[in-house]
Amino acid sequence: MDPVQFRIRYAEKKDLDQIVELVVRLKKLNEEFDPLYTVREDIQEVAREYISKSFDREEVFMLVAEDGNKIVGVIRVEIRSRLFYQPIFSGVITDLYVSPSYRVKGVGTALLDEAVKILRGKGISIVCAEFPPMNKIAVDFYQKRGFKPLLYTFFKEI
Amino acid sequence: MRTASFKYTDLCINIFIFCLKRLLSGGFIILSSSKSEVDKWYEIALKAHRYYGGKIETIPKVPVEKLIYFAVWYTPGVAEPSRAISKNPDLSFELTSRWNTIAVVTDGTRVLGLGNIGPEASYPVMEGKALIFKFLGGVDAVPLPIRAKDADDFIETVKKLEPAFGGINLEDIESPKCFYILERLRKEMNIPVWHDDQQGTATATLAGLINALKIVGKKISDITISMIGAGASNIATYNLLVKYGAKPKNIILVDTKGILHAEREDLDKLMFENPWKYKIAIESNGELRKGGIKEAIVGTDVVIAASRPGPGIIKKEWVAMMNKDPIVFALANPVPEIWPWEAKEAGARVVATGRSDLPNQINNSLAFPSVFRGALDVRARTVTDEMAIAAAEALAKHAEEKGISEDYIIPTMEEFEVYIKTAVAVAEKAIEQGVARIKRSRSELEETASTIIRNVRLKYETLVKNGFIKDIVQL
Repeated sequence: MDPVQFRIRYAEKKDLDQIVELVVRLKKLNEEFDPLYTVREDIQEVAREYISKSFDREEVFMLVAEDGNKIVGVIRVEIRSRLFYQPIFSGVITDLYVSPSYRVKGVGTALLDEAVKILRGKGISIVCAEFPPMNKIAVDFYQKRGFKPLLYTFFKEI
Repeated sequence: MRTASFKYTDLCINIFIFCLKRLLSGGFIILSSSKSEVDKWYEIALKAHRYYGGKIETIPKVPVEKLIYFAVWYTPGVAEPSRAISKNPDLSFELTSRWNTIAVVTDGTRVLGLGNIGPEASYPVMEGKALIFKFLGGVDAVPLPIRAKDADDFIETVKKLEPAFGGINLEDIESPKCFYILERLRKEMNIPVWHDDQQGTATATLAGLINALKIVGKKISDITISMIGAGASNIATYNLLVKYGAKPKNIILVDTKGILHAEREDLDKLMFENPWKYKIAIESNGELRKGGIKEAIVGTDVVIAASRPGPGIIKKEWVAMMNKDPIVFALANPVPEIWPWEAKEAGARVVATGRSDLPNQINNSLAFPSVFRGALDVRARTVTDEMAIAAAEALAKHAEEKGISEDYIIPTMEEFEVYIKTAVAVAEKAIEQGVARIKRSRSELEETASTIIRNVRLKYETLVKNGFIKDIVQL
C-alpha cells in the first residue's frame, strides 16, 4: 500500500462542509445495524448544526486529518463530568470517521492518539468511545487499542 | 507413450470430458444454443443417472483371495497400523487411503446456475466433480453435501472431517460466505482446502493471461485491467493477479452497482457485508474512475469478465476503445459476455471464453485435478497462493512449449500430459515453501503422478472391456 500524506490539526470553521459530509456518512453507516439507527430526513441540516455548535462549546473539541485541502478523517470528543464517580472527567469520542480511500493507513489511529494527547494535557485520565455495539469493526478497533466496555445501553421498543 | 489399447479409452474419455466439462463450466450442455438441444441433454442425463444409480463407487485395491486375508486388512491385523497411527497421526497418510482421498463439500447454496437448491440436490454435481477428480487427477473424491445452518456451522463441520481426508474441495457455496469459509478453513485446517469456484477459475485465468500477455508483448506489472463482475471467481482472480505482480491501482472492478471505487456511497455497508470486496474497493482503481462497464473497459489493456451470460454485456464499441492489442476474457457460461468474433472485429488480439467449442477455454478442470494431485503426492498441509501460481505457470508453459498463438493460449482438457506437469509444479512449490509433509525429487513426482493417472484409465478400461460399465449409448 502506498504511504499517504496527512496531517492532524484542530478543526476550523472553514472545514464545516467537509466535516458534515463525513459525519453524515458515519450516521448512515449506523443504519446498517438497526432500524432504530435510521437517519432522519433532515440529517444534513441536523449534522451541520451539530458540528457548527461544537465549535462554540468549550467542552468539545474536534480534530481533522487533512491531505492537502481535503479533510479525510474527523474525531469529535466531548469532555463530560461523571457525577458519582472519580476520576470526575472523561473524554468521550462521539464520532470518529475516516474516508474509505484513506483507511488501513493509520489515519484513525493518528486521530485517536492526538485526541488522547490533548485529553492528557487537560489532566483527563479516561477516554471513552460511543458507537453501536453491532459495529464489529469499531469494537475491534478499540479493543485492539486497550478499550473495554464501561456502560451498556439496552433498548426495547414499547 | 500411448499404446493402441489406449485408443478406445481415449475416445470414451473425450466424449466423457466433452459432456462433463460443460456441466462443470457452467451447468448447461449447449451444443448449438437451441433449447431443444439442451432439453435433450437434460433428458439423457436424468435417464443415465437413474440407470447407473449415481456415478462412482469404491472398489478394493488390495488382494482378498481368501477370506483369511481379512485378518490382515481387518481384525486382528489392522490393530497394528491403528496403534502406529495413534502414536503418530501423520502415519495415517502412509497406512490408509487418506493420502489420496479428498471430500467435495458443499452446502448447496449456489449450485451451478440453479441457486440455493439444497444439499441433496447438489449431490449429482458433487459426484460429477468427484468423477472428474478421479479421471483427470487420479484423486479419490467423496461427494459430501452437508446440511449446515450457517457459515460457522459449515466451518465447524468441515473441520471435524480432517482426520478422514487428505484435502477438501469446496464447491458451489454462495458469495460472500465462500470467502469467509475458505479464509477460515485454510487457516484452521492442516490439509489443503481449495474452493474451486474461486481458486480454480483464478488459476486457469492467470494461466491464460500469462500467455495472452506474451502474445501482445506486455508485462503484468505495466497493464491496466478491467474486471466485470465481483463474485467469487473475479475476487479470487483479482487477488491472484495482484500476487502475481499486477498493480492494484491499475485494476478496475465493476459489480452490479457500477465501478468499485473508494468514494462509493455504499462502501461502509460493504465493509460489513463483504469485507473482501471492500478491501479491493479501497486499494484498486487508483484513478478513482467512476461509471459502469463501458467506463471501466475504456483505455484498459485487459478485460476479464465473469459476470452474467451474454451476449451484449460487453459491447463491441467498448472493446474498440481499449488500449492497443486488447485482451478479452469473457468467461460467463453458457454464453460469453461478448462473442469472440465480435470482440475480434472490434480489434481484440486475444479472446478467451469459458466454452469448449470456442478457442482458448478458461476451464478450472485444467487446474483442480492436478493441483490436488500435486498437493496430495507430497501430503501438503495447505494449498498456498504460490502453489496456485505455480500451477498457472505450468499450464502456461505447457501451451507455450507446444506453440502459443492468438487461438491457443491455454491447454485443452484433452492434453493429458499437462496434468502431470502441473501436478509436479504444485508439489515442488509445496516442498519449496515447507508445506509438504514429505519430500520427493522431480522424477519421483513425475513417476507418481503419471502412474496414478494412467492406472485410473487402465482400470477403467478393464471394467469397460469386461462389461461392468456399459456405454451410455446402449441406454
